[in-house]
Amino acid sequence: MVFSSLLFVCLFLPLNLAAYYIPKKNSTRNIIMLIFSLIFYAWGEPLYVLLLLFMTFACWMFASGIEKSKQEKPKKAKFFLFLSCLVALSLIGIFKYSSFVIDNISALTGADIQMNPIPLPIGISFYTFQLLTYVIDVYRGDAKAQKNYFNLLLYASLFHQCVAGPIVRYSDVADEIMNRKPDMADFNKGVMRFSSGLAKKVLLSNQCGSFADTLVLGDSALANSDLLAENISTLSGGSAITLWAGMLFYMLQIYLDFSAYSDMAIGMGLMTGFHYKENFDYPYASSTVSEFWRRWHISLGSFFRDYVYIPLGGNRKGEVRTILNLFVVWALTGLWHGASWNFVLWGLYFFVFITLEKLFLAKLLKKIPAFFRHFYLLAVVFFGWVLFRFENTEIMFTVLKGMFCLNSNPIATHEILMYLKDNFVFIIIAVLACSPVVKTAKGLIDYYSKRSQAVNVIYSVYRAVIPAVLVIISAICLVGDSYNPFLYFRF
Amino acid sequence: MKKKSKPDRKKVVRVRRLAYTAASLFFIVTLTALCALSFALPLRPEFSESEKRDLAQFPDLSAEALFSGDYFDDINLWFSDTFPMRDSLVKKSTQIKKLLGVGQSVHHFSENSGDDIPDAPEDEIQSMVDVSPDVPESQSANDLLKPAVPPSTTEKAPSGNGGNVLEQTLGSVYIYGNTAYEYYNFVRDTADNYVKAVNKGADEASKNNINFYNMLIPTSIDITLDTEARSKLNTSDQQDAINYMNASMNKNVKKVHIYDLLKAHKDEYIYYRTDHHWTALGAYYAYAQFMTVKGGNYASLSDFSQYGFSGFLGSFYNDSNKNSALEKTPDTVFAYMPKGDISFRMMQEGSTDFINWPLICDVSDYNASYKYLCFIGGDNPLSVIENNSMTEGETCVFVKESFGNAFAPYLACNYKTVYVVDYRYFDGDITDFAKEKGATDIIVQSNISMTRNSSLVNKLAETL
Repeated sequence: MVFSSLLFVCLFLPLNLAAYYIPKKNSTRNIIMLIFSLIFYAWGEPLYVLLLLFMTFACWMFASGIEKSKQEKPKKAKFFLFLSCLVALSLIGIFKYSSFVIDNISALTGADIQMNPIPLPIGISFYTFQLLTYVIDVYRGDAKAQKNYFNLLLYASLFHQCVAGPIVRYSDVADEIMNRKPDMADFNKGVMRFSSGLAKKVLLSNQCGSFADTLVLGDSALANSDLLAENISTLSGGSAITLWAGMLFYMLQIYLDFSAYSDMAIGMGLMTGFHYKENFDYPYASSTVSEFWRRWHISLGSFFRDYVYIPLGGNRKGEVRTILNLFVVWALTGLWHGASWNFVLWGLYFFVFITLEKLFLAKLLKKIPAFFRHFYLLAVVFFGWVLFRFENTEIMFTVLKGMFCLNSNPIATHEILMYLKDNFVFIIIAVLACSPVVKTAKGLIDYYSKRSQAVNVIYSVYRAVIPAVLVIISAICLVGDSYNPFLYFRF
Repeated sequence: MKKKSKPDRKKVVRVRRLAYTAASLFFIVTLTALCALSFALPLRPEFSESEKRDLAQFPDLSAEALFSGDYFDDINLWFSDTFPMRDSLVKKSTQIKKLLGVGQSVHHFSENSGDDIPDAPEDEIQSMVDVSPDVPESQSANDLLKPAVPPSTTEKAPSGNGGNVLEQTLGSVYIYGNTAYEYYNFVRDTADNYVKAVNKGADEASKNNINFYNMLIPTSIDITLDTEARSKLNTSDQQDAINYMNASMNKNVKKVHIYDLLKAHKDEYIYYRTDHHWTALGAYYAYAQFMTVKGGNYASLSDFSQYGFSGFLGSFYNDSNKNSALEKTPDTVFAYMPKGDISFRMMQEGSTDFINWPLICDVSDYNASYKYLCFIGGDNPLSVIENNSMTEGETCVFVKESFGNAFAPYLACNYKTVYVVDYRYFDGDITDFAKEKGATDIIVQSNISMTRNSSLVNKLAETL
């Protein structure tokens, strides 16, 4: 199930909230959340839910082993840590990367190994990483091992973040699992957060996605290898402006979609007393690649920082080792996004820019006007999305060449200009939605509210009705609409 | 003074807090209402009037569907597809998108140029019939028969994934003012296959001494669209395409050229604005030209009774997310009923029995998107028009797609019996069929969009 489906909004969420608030005891509420979470997960993956149960069980067992032996037998604790990482990483390896590995072995050795592709379990990359933070936090002493398996299962499977993040660390929510007191102020915040996230996904992201699919092909067409020749012919015939515009829509879509999911997760967390950390901080407003990655999918970046980069030595072991560490982190970051070379390439592409920035580029960028710095960042990220979107390198190069009219394609056609003109207002709205302008406006309104009761009253009325209005509008747009892409099925 | 103009801080916070609480309350009320609506099973529609299709059904439970996850996916689909008031909510969502600045004039965006159209050798010049029809006054539809049974629904939009490949699906649609046009891109291979199919059919017919006519119908984008607007669009030249195909046809094919004739009447109401079909008036010109090629007198339009059905919003409207410019100015379907004793019967798809049906039926009560069904009961594999006022006369087989529906009634003025075959649904060989029925003429008619659709051309090739 996805948050932006009509079934979720009209049925799952209301029933979940109602059931959650009937009992008063935290432990009963945990049971309710666990049941709803398992239904939520099984709705999309009726079989793979067992994998989630098993991986959680293994990590739960090994973590109690770690805690018991930590003091007296540190070696044994380390062994348990190794075992839990082995189980978790083997499972994600088998279910996410085996086809990729075998394809590469076949390609390298010329051996023809046939294997039925294993369908990827939804959310495996998110919950595996969450469970890893659990065992590592227990090993490091940052968290106590969870005595009750079902509480750990609730952490791993909680439908708020199980399938599309944020990657919530166990130490951040350990206390809240055992004892949380949802209050009205949090609930209010959560309502606003969820509603705006839903509207962002349904009204803006889905529309951007539909434009992107129209201009630079949809996922189902791209994934169909039988259509390769047709796809290349379509894309090579597209005008340069069409390709730029299509990728721009994709760039808008992926931010709006992903951040909307995080908004909805954070909002539902607040409604039920969980506090998840922010996952996006207007990344497109950054001015360096390093800054972008501190503001884009924050929970993933900080996972790699705290659980890979720093344990590898971070920047404390000299320049060469730092670069090597960065290389490993970015190759893994790329690979996390999908089992395909283009994702690795995409990760390493950022490695190159981050390394250059560390070496000299950051200093250089500081000297140029902010506008150009920002332009540099957007250009790097924009081309990054080209690498990210097209798994097939032939298609990727067709698009890149076409952007500079190297496919003997025209710069623009009447059709694309008409299309852009026609959707101009929407484009402006979508771009503004990616920028901190709404946040700034909110700050201004707060400032004037303190000075004028009239402003305060008008804004308060608006603020009182807007969540309900956004939910109703989103629900209307979801009726009968089959176009509702879920971008993270590869993660 | 300054202090007084500033509201009390506590008051500001109190108002704000009240607003937040009210927001939560409204949110909960909204979710409750949506939840209640979800359970209102009797309110869930089973058929969409505007999309002309059966809506998704609640899936049957099977172990296979359950474990693959399809069962739950299908429940999701059913849930949103049959949501109470879905048609009007879908319409609302278009308005919401319009408010958000989502454009309304280009649909199924495509920059794909058609293939180059090879130069055609000059075909024999066909003199254009000089016809200025005397359009009769519209009559009340009361004297038309109203069928008791629902209309043929073979012209439904494809449902689910795949659908019926033989349905004509619209390509890129361009909306200019309050009129929609469909792009046409010439596909050389498919056009060549069309010619091959027609040539084969004509050779077979000629062996049996049956005349074989072919008529290619241009679509509105090359006829009625403003020349300047048209010149900017990336759509293939239909005149060149028609010339190329006609010139590639062999001597056994008697070609009926109607492009120039329709162009000469471009300011008249010969195509719908909200639907991809031509009007009965457009079809009348084609009929006049056909009779001229055949060598006979065409009936004067004033000899027909005219009926008008207003409020038609056709395929372009439905396919353009219910474009509001189109919606404001719906089409009127005019139909012309030949005078005399004309009987009509049709065999619907999947049936082997004929049912009697009005040649022109009263569609005033039909849904806005169904009005084109007033002609010959819509698309059926086989139907028969008989002019009982003629004591003797010729028989023809008219092979058509949906454009032919508006055309077929005219043939009743010149043939005693007209067998109307929709090649998309007909199984059998046309020459054999014509021989069996003692037909003297086979008339094949296609709108140009059909000649770029390989599955339709293949089906035609099987029939001819």
